[in-house]
Amino acid sequence: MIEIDHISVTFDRGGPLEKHALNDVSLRIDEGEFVTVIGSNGAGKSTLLGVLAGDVTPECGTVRIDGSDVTRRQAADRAGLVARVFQDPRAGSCDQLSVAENLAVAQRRGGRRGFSLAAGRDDRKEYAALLDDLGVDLARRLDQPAAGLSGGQRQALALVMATLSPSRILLLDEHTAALDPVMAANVLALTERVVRERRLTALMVTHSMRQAVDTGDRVLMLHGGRIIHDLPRSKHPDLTVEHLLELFERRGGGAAVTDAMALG
Amino acid sequence: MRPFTAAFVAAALAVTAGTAARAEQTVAIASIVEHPALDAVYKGITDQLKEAPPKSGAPKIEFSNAQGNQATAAQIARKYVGENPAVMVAIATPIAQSMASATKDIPIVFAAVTDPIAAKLVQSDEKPGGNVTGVSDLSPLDKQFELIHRAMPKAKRIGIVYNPGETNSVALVDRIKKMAPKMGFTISEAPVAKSSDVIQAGRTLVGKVDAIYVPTDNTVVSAFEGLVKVGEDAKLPVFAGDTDTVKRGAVAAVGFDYYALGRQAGRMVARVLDGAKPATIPVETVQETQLYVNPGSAEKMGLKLPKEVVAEAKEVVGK
Amino acid sequence: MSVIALLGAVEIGLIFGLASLGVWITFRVLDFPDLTVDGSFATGGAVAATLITGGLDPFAATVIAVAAGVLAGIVTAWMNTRFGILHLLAGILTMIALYSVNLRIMGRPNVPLLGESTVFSLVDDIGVPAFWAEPAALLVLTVLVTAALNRYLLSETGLALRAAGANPRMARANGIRTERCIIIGVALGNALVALAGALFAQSQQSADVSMGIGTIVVGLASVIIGETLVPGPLRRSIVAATAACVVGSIVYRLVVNFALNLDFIGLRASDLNLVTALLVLAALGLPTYRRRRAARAAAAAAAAAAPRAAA
Repeated sequence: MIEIDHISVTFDRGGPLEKHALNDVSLRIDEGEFVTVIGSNGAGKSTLLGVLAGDVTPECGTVRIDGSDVTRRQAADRAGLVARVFQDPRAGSCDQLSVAENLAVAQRRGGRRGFSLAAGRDDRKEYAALLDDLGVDLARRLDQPAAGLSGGQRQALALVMATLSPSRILLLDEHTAALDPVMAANVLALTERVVRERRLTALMVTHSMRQAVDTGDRVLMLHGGRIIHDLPRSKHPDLTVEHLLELFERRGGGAAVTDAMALG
Repeated sequence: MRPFTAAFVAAALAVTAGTAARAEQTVAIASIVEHPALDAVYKGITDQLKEAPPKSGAPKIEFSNAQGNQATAAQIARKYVGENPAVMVAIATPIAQSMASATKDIPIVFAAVTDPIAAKLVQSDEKPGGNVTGVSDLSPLDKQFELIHRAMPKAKRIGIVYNPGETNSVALVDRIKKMAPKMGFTISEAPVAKSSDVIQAGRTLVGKVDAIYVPTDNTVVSAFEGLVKVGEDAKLPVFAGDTDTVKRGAVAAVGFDYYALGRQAGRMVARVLDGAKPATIPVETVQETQLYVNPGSAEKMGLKLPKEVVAEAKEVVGK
Repeated sequence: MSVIALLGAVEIGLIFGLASLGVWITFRVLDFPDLTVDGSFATGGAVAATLITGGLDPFAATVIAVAAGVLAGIVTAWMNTRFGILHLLAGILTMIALYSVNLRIMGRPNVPLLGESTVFSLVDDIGVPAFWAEPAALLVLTVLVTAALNRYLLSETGLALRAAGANPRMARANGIRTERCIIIGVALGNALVALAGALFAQSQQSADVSMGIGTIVVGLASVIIGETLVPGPLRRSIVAATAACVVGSIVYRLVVNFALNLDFIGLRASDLNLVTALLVLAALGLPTYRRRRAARAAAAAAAAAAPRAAA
């Protein structure tokens, strides 16, 4: 489903802040896999997602999603293949638009937009049913602006929006990092449920080793723009947080492991 | 909020109700913008009506200023029409057009409109034909260019600095270009869009022309000192189209007094108040012109004014 | 004020209401402050006036004037999206260029329309006095234009436009081509402003190269006045927002009318701008001031009651 071949990304090439965000990275992810990505700050995790989403253009290498070469394709033109949830709860929806309107925008991701009324009565019934079905308590707030929702509600909304319209892959960029523990757990549970029910291929960047260990079926560890560990659960059935920490420190080249990573 | 707004609106209407239609003779005057020349016109009109009122007695005078804004001018015109004055007076073309558009019945007298026919305010100068007539501030161009010829008999090429965005200037320059060949002049144009461009425009004329002429253009006149400097540096005489500018350094000008224009317009207003119809009152131009000279400035620009010219001057500036 | 003056304010308010809708689309919906409007307003008037004096049917002339506005908007948007020029600067550049373009179109700084047939000639012949007929016709037109705009903004494409302005990153992640939205939105905004310019020139029966100066200021003032007048719960609705722009524009003109009539208290004609600004400030500021005072009074009363309850 996802084929990344020899991708390199350098920011500010030649300048004072030159950074090799990704260094000749190659990766294969099969359809239906749920991959978690961990690493220290600056390891290249977000850049990796950016390359897949189309926010970042690599200077060499290719990216293929479901067989299509999307390396040079703009983000908006890949949206039919790629669904995303951002770290900042406010980034995934429009403050001024209502919940229903946000869902309507997401509903047409990857499709053509015409002149028919958006978020009409039938659409809203559909949204309400979907929200109730997923256990997200927003059905009664369809007409409220997204700005009035809490962080957790907004991330739940972003998640529902990401899965409302079909996509080939789902990218989650530390999407529970900005939430309190209870909300984070709720959103994570929703994530797992949605990925499982829709059989999505998902990539989840997380700062939490606990999440990496408990969620999904493969862990990727990045450092210095490279993949230093690739741990499919089939080969590492008894993966623990301590184990990960050890691996991290061993090949991490002295990069610090933060409390958040270890305990989160 | 609701009761407050309602009270506010009610108060507004009540206060302004008192300014509804009047029975006595009212003269409603409006100017497009604050400007010394236009302000002088206003003073001329009001002084004239006070000192030589019409037979029906001194009228009540109302005045508004559009602050340079077309939409405000439109609202002023509508407001006046609603008050049904005996005569409306427009100082400058844009206001005259707004008023003419707002009413075909109430008599309108304009002042300081350079080209009323081009502005479609009148059908012809002799028989305006509608409800509009007035006094034009068309410069006495023939007298002015004759002055240049007399002051500089050898001059052939004249440069004109003006703003093509000002209707009055464009009307003047068109007339100058038609008239110039008959007087043996060739014309070079140096257009400016704003006052800060004036010095540069003046410099482009150096070496190309024998003298510079500045028409009654608001943009250029407001930055006239810049041209004086160019003239002194390059020994290039600068003539003007109005007499006030001579005090500021122009070599000489044949012009009229905007106050006198105002008084002439005031006389016309009195005639209308006494019953004359604008359709048959011919458009007037200012007849009284004066010659102002500034020999000191001329010398700085490398020109010695002929004695006869100086002798004719109504005022010799700088002595 | 007289009925004629009142209706005159309404008529001019409706015309500038169209312009303030255009300003609202770029400024509020797209988050793209567009200064082109000072130029495109005059372009609308210039194109319409020149074509009408050239013999073209006034309705066709008005449509072409709107097309000119679309072009002006596309130029600004293109500078911003294609060349990365800051939106404010792009608008300023187009506005400056339009000054010369407008002069070229008209051939001179002022084109009078007195005696020509305009879109208003139709209603002038109905038999109702023009000062009633023209505002009524404009009201019908404004309602139609606003309804069409609302319908567009509530459609899927219109919603995409709103998303592009509200959160461009999210919009792109949802497949919306934000650059195209900017071009469409800025073109649409300037189309409305050019329409207003064409109507204003025909209403005043003259087009002047300087007629657009101040459009952005009046447009923004109208938008903000309208927003302040809309009650809280309605504020998010598109229908209320567009209506508010038009209402705000009319209120602004009424304030100017009111200011024009204040000479009896010793104010001079030259004080008009200051008086208008103060009146607008009073109209907007006083309700807020009273609300805050009421809130403080309520808080004080609650604080006074609490110790007694606790004691």
